[in-house]
Amino acid sequence: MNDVGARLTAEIDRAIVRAAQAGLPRVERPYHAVAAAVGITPEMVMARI
Amino acid sequence: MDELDRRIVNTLQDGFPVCERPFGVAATALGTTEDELIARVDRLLGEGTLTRFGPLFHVERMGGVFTLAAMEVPHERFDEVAAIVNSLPEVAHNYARDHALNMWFVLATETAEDSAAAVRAIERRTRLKVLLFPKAREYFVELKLEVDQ
Repeated sequence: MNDVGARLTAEIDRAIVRAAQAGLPRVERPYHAVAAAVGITPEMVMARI
Repeated sequence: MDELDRRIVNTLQDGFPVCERPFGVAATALGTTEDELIARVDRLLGEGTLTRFGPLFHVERMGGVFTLAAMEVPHERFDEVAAIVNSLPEVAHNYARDHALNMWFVLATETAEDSAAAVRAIERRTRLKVLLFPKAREYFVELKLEVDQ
């Protein structure tokens, strides 16, 4: 991964942590809810988690 | 807590599926339904049996920083100082201890500079010294709290 890619991934990871640190939503598709909060795809959230 | 509650708490501490409908997958393994599992986790949180339900992140592996800190707080100022320390979003835990260093807390920040800035803010606002205890080594303890039948 190049520098830009690594920085972007780190930023996405931090956003996911911020969105899920207080807990996972108790809904049928919790990772989709986190994805909606972060503004990325559910696939990306699941891959990073 | 009934038998299913105990199995939920004991089982989900080992891991929670990462897939489109993780409650459904976990529910099948537990012999219950998705709706029932969601309702029970909600209830366990509402009752305070669980204080959190979600992934534990290794902040340091993502470049984040945990700093253990302690202060010697005059007894009569303890509540006032605790309120100042707890008001910082960087403070993750804060405990009163029976020792000359009677307040211990953890700072969780994205960078070492953020951590140092939080320490300076606490020292400025409390006019007390903050002692830092850097980590020499980390041990993986895999904390699991088993609920007995």
